[in-house]
Amino acid sequence: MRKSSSIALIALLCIFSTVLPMRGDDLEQARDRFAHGENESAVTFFEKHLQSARPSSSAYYELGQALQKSDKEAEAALAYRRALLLDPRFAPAAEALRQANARLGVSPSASTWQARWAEKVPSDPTVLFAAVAFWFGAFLLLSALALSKKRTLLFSLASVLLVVGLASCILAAFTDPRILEARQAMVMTLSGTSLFKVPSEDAAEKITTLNQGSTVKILSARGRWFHVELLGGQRGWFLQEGITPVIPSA
Amino acid sequence: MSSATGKKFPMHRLSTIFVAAFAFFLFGVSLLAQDATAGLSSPATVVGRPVEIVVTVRDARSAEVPQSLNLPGLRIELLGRSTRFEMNNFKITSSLTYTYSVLAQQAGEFDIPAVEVRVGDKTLKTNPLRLSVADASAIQSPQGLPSAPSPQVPPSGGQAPRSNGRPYFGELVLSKKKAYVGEVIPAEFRYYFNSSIGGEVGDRPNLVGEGFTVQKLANVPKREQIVNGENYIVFAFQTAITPAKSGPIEIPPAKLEARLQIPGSAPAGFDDFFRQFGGVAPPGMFTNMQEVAIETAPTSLEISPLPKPGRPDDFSGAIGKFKMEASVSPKKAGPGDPVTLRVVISGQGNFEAMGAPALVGDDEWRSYPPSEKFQSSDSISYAGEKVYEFLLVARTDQQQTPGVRFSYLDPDTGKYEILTQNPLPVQARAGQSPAQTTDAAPDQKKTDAPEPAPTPNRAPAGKAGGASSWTSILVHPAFLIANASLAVIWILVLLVILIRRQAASPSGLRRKKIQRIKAALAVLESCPEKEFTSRAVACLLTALDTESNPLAAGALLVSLAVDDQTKAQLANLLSRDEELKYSVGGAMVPDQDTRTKILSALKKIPS
Repeated sequence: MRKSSSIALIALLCIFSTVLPMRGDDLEQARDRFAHGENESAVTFFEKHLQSARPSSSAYYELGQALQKSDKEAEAALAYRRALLLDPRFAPAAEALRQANARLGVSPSASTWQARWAEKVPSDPTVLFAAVAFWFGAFLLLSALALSKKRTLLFSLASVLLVVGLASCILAAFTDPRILEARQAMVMTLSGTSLFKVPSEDAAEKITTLNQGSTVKILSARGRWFHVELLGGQRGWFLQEGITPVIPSA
Repeated sequence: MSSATGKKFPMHRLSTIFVAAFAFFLFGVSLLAQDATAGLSSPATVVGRPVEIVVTVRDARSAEVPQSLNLPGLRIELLGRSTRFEMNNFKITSSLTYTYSVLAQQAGEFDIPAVEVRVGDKTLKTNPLRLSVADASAIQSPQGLPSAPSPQVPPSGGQAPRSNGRPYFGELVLSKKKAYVGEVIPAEFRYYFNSSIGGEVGDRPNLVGEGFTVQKLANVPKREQIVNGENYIVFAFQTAITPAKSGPIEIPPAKLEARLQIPGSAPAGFDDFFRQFGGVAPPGMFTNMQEVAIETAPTSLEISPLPKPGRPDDFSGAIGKFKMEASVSPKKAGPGDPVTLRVVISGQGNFEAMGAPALVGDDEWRSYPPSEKFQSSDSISYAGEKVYEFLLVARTDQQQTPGVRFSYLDPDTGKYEILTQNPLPVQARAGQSPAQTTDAAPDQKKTDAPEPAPTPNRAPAGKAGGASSWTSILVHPAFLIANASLAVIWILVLLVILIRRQAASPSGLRRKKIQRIKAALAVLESCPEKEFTSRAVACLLTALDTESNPLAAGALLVSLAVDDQTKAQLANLLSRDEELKYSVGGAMVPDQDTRTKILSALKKIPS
């Protein structure tokens, strides 16, 4: 019994020791290809790396650069947007997205207070801080209930911590682009995508055409169609083939 | 036409009327499509050498045009008018031609606006024209090459094309014939067709050669030009030729295919038909369709390698004439915030092959590969401006940006020129950039040219900041489970505290006392007779909150809110207990009736 478990453990270690370097190899390969101008090949390796490893803003930024060098502007813009979803404070990616949008002829989206906040304050650390503050305040409140002395001081401190923690949590929820833009999608087809009033390719029902690189919000899916909302609030139907969700797993 | 209305043969009057009516019908139909075009006899000239503008109005019998055009630097006056009728395969076309004389009084580029032509109630406008005028003394460049007043429309080397009486011919016009490897040479392929012939022209000429690259050919709007007194329609294609090697290079003929209607002789018998009316067949009435390939003449270029003397180390590969401007934004940047140094290289040259300018004195800055955007002002990407944007993040607090240096080869002088931009004032504070954590070693020192232009494929790689999941931690299952667990613990602790507080409150204590009394009475009812008195007293003491102090119980009993009989019963109980404790023989065991009374009295004590 002990022998078989040892063999299993060794096998697991072997698997990990081979899989982990492979992940790193893809990224190194991608960077090496990119540095030597083999952009198409670099794109393949970046994508391979991103399929197996955890997403990172720098990998998406580098993928965007390689795509841009391969004259795939829309794909590059999508990669930059993904980099910014993961790290809204990534200034080079923001600049690269701005330029890619300019080349695609897509007008930049209006700067919202949520975006400005996200550019300044990282979401996940804020949430962690908020959670710690909230629960510290909550248990301090219990202490104040249990004790008979210094109750006012404890109550005050607990209240402040609770309010700060809760407010920070709510703020993070309202400003995290991964939550706000969870249903965002981007028009990828070169000729743009037509928006229809109903899920039908009837030309009479066509509302407008969105350029490549434009973003929409997916409301629901029905068969081959997405029910979407444009930035201006207009709603309609798009063929799914024309648009790609900004968050890959969405 | 006049022959068609002859009157010598009354026998054939019916035929004559028919032919005349048919011709009139065709003429009337053709009048429906009127247009006006304008062409220059030469797109380039020198001061004092006149050129002509020919305004052609098709399908009109009369028109009004201005006598002169007012344009500063040019004197444009109407010279005369001519009318032309043509018949091609029974289709009659008429055109009015107005000729203007253009005399340039100063050098420069002139945009001649559209000429307004009034035909009946309609006002037609010709296409605008562009005329390049050079100084008479500056026709030859320092190298003896033909001057290039405008890269868009290279001149014919100061010479008008020669038709030699041909109805169509081709011409390659190069801005220069001596150049350097990698230099962009604007060129124009022109194909002339006598206006008396019609037909179809291919999309673009075919040019295949070695030792040079040719940009995609750009169509130039069709124009008219007078060559040797004949009106020609010119199809032109602009491009840029870039030599790839040094030495002599042959530009082979560029073929343009066309299907042309060449004027031909009338079929047998038709001449007799017209002769019987006393005339001959109108010119252009009969044409032959021919497929032809019009070729330009082969041209040779003399290409020199880039000069080695004086070549700067940071030579970017740019060849041409350039200017440089730079700006920075924002002027103030917070800790870790990037500033954008925008460098604009404008002028004429090989924009697509050139590298980025180099930053100078940027040791205290972290720079990223610049983005580049080229905005061409012509159709062959020869003139325009290229914008490089450097993203810079200060390593230490900075008051000015790095300087910028750009070197290029001036092909006219054959010398390398260096453009420099002094550092621009900016207030940037040092900080951690989100993309700072690159793979680069922290002690990696940058050189004066931190991001070499020819190898721009260097991205800020590595473990940049930010999240590593598409799911916000707020909705992450682990985070939710941890918070739920803490919430459960918190609720449990709260319950414990509340229960304890409740138990310690007066009401809690009272309830507890009642429970104790009830329990004591329950025990009392079923206890042995010998223990009855002591247990009953214990129960009374509990009810009076005196616990083990029977002496105090006597005093409390007086003030107890019960009737006197009950008080007497309870006092009797206390005395029995004392008697039991202190008498030698012991007290009598209470009978059942006494026990019932005592129990009843105890139950009456208010809790």
